[in-house]
Amino acid sequence: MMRRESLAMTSRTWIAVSTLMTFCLLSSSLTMVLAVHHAQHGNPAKVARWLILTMVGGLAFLVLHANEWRELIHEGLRLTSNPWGHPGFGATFFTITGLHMFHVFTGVCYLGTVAVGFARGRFTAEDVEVSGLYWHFVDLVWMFVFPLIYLMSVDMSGGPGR
Amino acid sequence: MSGDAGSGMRPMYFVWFWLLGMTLIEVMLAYLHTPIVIMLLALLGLSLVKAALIIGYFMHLKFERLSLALTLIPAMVMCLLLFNVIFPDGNRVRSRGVFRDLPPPQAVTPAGH
Repeated sequence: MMRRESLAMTSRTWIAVSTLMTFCLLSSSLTMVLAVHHAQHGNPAKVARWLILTMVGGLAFLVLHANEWRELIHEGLRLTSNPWGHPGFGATFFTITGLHMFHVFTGVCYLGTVAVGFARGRFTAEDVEVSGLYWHFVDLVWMFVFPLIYLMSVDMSGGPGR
Repeated sequence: MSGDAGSGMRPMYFVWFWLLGMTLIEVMLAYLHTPIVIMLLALLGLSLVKAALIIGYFMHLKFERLSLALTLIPAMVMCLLLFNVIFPDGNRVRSRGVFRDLPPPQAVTPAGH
C-alpha cells in the first residue's frame, strides 16, 4: 500500500482531473447498460448510438490520463524515482494505471468492433452483452485504483507532503 | 433519456447516481485530514460497495446468482493465493528497510498541477 507521503501532489487539480476521469468511466458504464438494453430489444440504431457514446467516454478518459502522465513525467516522476516522496510510487503508479489504461484502450477498440458488427448483423445481442461485461469490469477496477492510488497519495493540506 | 430507454432502466440511473455520490464522498475524505488508517478503511469500504453495485446491477449478476457465485468464489480464491505470493516479500522489504539509505524526499511542489 502506498503511503500518503509517497506523492506530495498538493494541487487540487490532480484530484479534480482524476475525479473527472472517474465520472467519464462511470457514465460510460451507464451508456453501455443502455446499449445492451437496446440490443436485447432489437434496436440497432440506438445500440450504435450508445456504444459510440460509451467509446467517447473511454476516449475522454484516455486523453485525460495521457495528459496527466505527460505532466507527471515532465515534473520528474519516473519508474525508479519520485521527486515528491517514496521512490516506489513511480513504479506502482505507472504499472497499475498503465495496465488499466491499456485495458480501456482495448475496450474502446472492442466496442468499436462490436458496434460495426452488430450494425451489419454479424454480432448478436449476446455479443454486445459480453462486451458490456468487459467494459463494466474495467470500470470496476478503476473504483479501486482511484481511491487507493490517487486519494491515498495526495496531500490536500497545501504542504509538500506529510 | 429514461423515457428513451424504458422504465426498466430506472434502477440503473439510481445506481449511476449513487456511484457518483459515493465517489464525491471519497473525494471529500481526501480533503478532510482523516487519520490514514480510518481513511483507508473508509475508502476500501466505499469501493467495495461501489464494486458490488456495478457487479450486481450493471453486470446484471444480482439476477444470476449461480453465475455470481461461480465468478466471485474462484476469483477470491485466486486473489488470496496471489496475495500469499506477495506478502512474504512485503514483510522482508519492511524488516530489512530496503529504502532506509535513500536521501529524504525533496520538498518540491509540482508546478502546473
